[in-house]
Amino acid sequence: MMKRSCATQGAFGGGAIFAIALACCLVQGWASAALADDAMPVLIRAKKIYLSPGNVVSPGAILIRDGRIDRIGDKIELADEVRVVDLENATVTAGLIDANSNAGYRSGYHDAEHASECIPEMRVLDTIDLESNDFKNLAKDGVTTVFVSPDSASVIGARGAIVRTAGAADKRVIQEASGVKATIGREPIFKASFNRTPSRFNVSFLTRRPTTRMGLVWVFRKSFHDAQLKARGQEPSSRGEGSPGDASIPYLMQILNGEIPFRIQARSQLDILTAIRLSREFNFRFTLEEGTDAYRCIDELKENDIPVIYGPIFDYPMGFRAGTGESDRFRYGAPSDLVKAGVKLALSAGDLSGEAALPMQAGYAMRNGLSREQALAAVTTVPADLLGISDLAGSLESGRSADFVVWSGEPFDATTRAEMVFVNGTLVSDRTVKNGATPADDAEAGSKPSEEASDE
Amino acid sequence: MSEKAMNETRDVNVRRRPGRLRGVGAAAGFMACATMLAFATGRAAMAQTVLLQGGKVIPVVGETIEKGDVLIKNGFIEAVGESVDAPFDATVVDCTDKVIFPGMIDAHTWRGMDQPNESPPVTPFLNVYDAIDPSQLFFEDSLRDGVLSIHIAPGDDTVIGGMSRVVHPIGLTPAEMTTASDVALKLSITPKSGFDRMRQMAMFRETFRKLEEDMKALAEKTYEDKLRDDGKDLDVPPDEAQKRGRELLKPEDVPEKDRNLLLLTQGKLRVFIHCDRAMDVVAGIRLAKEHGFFDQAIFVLGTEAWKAADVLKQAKRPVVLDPRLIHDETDPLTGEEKETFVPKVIDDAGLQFALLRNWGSSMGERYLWYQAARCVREGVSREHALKAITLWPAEMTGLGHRLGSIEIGKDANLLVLTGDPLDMQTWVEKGYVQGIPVYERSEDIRLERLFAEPGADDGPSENAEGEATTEEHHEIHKNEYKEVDPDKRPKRERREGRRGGRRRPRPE
Repeated sequence: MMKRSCATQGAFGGGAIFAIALACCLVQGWASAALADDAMPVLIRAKKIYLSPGNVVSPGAILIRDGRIDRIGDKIELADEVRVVDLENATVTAGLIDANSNAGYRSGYHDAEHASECIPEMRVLDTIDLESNDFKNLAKDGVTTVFVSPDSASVIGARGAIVRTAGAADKRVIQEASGVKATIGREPIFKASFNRTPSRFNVSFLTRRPTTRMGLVWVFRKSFHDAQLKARGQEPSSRGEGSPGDASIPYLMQILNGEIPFRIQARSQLDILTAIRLSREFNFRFTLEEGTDAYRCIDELKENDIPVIYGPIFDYPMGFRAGTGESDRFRYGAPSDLVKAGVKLALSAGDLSGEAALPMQAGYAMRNGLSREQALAAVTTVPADLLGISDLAGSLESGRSADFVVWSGEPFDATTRAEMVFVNGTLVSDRTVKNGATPADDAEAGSKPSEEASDE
Repeated sequence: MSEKAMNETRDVNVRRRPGRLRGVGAAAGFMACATMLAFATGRAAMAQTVLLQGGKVIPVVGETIEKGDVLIKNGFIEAVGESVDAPFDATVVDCTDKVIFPGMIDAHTWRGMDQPNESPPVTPFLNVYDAIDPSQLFFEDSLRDGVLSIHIAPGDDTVIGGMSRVVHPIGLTPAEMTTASDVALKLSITPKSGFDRMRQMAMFRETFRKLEEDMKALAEKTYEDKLRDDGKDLDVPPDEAQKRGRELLKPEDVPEKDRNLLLLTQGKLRVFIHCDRAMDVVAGIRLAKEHGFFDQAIFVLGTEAWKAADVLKQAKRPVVLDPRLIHDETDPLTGEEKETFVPKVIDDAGLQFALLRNWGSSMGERYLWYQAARCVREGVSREHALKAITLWPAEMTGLGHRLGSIEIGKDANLLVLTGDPLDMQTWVEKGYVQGIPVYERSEDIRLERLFAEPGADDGPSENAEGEATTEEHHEIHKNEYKEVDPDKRPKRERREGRRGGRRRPRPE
C-alpha cells in the first residue's frame, strides 16, 4: 500500500515544513478531506507523469488551483501557500476515456426501444441516470469521461452522449447528443422478446422487426434510401411501415453528409464487412464498435480508414456476447495486430466493470502485445480524438481542468490501482485514505492538524 | 512392477518414478496433444537431470536470488544457489532474464471432474479419482497458466462429499496425474440444494450417530468373536465389551462406506469444510470440534464469510478464499455501496489463506498469479500473496514437504517465467512436473493460434512430431486456406471443453 505524506508548504516555508509533514503523516484522513475543498491549491508529486503517451516527465509534479491544472512538469516553483501530496512510486495519467460505455442506463432484453427500427432522433441522454452507481464505479477505476453508447437493440439507434463520470452536476454533460449508433449483428434481431410477429392480422415483413441479418440490412438500406429520396423532395414508393419516420430524416442526412459521427457495432467478420459494404454504397464514414473479428478485416479497415473502438477483450466470451455467437473467434493478438497495421484503435470495457474495467482492458492489451504507450493512447488520446474532445481530455496540459488519475504504480499493471481520481477539477476518489478511517478518527489520533496548518 | 501394473494401481505416488510419466500426452489437447506427446516421450527419459541456469530464483521461502541456478535430479530439487555446477549428464537450460518460480497450486476445485457431486447427501466413500476426466481442456489451461498442482475435491452441493486428491495437469489417466491420493474429505455446512440449514446439520448429526452405533455393534461383535475363537464365554457387560472390541478392530474390519468417516472422527483425516456464509463458519467450527476433526479442518469460504474473521482468527485454521475476492454490499436504505477486499481482512487476521481462480470471469481473475497481484494491489504483502498461491495451499493439502517452494529435496515442480510472477506481461515459458518438462510455450499450439494471423486458425497440425510451427503450417496450406469459407470451418470446441461441461450462459 502506498504511503502518502501531506504537508502545507509556503514559498518561504522554512524549517517548520518537515515537522508538519511528519505530523500530517498521521492524519491522512484529514488530509484527504482537506484536499477535497478547493480553497487551497494542491501540489501532487509523483514518480512519473504521462503528459500524453510517449511524453513522460519523471519525476513530475502537478499543481491544481481552482480545479484547473495550474502548472505541470518536472519542477514547479511555488509562489504561494499550497498543500503538498507526495506519492512515492505513483504515476499520473490523464483521466481515461471509454468511447463505448453503457453506463447509466439499463441495457437489457426488454428495454429496447420499440417505436421504430430507426431512431436517430432520440437521445440516450434522456434515459441516463447520471447519479447511477455505474458512473461512480467508472470514476473509481480512473475513467473520467465516457461516450454513453445507445442500446444495440435498434438497427439505427439513438444518439449517444459524452459525459463526465463525476463532478459538478451542471458540468457533467460535454455533448448532449454526439454520434448515432447503428448495430449490425444479432442484437437488433434477438433483443426485445426475440422479434416475434406482433399480432395475428398485420403479419408481414414490413410490420415486424427484422428476424435475420437479411432483414436487418434491408431496414438499414431502406432507411438511408428513403431519407435520400425524401431529401430530394421525392416520396418513397413504399411510404409507411418500414420507412424511417420524418423525424429521423434530418439525422440520417446528417450522417450521409458527414455532419454527425456515425458508429456501427459489429463483431463478426461477416457483419464488419457488411458495414463496410454499406458505407461504400451510401458513402458515409463510420467508427467500428466492439469489432471482435476486426483482426480478420485489417486490410478492409485500413483501406477505408475506419477507426476501431475495440473491446471488451475477453479470454472467452461470456454473458450475452456468448449468446450472440459473434464472439467465438476472438484473438489475443487482435488489438496489437490492429495497432501494428496502423488501424486507429481505442479500447473499451463496454458494459463490464470490476476486474474487466478499462484499466484492466488496457493491461490485457499489454499482456497480448501492446506497449504501455500504445495501451495508454488507446484509452486516452485516441478515444478523445474519436469523440472530438482532444482539447478537453485525453492528455495533460496546464490550463485544462484537472482530469487525471494518480496510479499506485505503473498504469495498467495487475498490482496497480487508481489511488486518486480527479474529474473536472474535483477529487472524486481517494484510496490513499486507510480503510474505514474518518477524518474525525484521525484528528483525534494525531494532533490538531487544522491549527498547525494555519500556523504556516 | 511392470509399466502396465503400475498404471493399474490407482493410488501410486509417482514422485520417485519420473519414468512413469513417459508417454504421457497433453492433458487434453486435441491440438496440443500431438506436440506434447512427442515432447514427453522424446525427452522425459533423458531429462532427469536438468540445470536451470542464470535465472532470477523466487523460492517463496527465503531470499530471492537475483541470478541463480536450480538443479533438478530424479524429479527432485537437488540444489539451489547462485552457482550450481552442472553434472556431466545435466541438460542445461539457459534462464537468463527469466524467473524461476515454484509451480502454482490450486487449493480447491471440482473442475477436472465430469460432475462435481453425487446426488445422495452423505457419500464419504466416494473418490474423485473416478470422476477425473484427463481430457478436459481445464488441465491444459492450468498447465499454460502455471498451475502445476490441482487439489480436486467434490463440489459444494453435498453434506459429506467424498475424498479428494492432488493431481498435476499432465497425464492420460487419473493415476498418472495423481500427485497425492486421499488428501482430504469434503464437507459442506452450506446446505445442499433442496436442503435448509437445519436439515443439513441434522444430516451430519444423524450420520455421526449412526457411525457411532455401527462402530459399537461392530466392536462388540469383534470382541465376542474373539472370545468365541478363544473358547471363552462373554465375561463383561456390553459397554466394556465395546471398549475392548474397539481396541481389537482392524481398519479392514470396518465396512468401506464407514472407513473414511471413522478416520475423520478419530482426527486422522484432513477435511475441507465449505462455508459459504459467515453463519456457516460458526456452525462448521462447532461441528468440527464436537466430532474431533477440528485440528484437521481447512475452511473453504464464500465471499460473505469474511464477516466471521474474528471467529476464524480464534480458530487459527487455514482458509481457502472464494475466488471473488471483493464482497459487495448495498445499504438497503441509503443505497450506498460498500466493498470489502476479503484477502486483506483475512491476512490482517493472521490466517493462512489460499487463493482460487475465478472461472466466472473472462479476464485475469482466471489466473492464480493475477489473484495474488490483486492482493498486493490492495495492501497484502507480496510475500503472503505469493505464498497464497504456492506454499500455503501445499501445506493445506498436507504436501508442504513436497510442493510450494524451491527448496532442496522438494518435488521439482517448477516454472520458468518470462518475468515477475505478478506482472501483467509475464507468460509461462516452461513448466516442469517432478523434473519432467511438461510445458514449452514455443510449442503451445493453441496459444500460438490465439495470437496468430487470421487464416492460421482451426484444424490441427498434422505433424505428430510437433515440428511444424503454425506459420510453417500456414505456409504449407495457404492455398487451401484461401478457398475455405471461414464460416464453414469446423466449429471451435473451445467453450464446452474449457468450461468443464459448463453450459453456454443464458441471456440475462
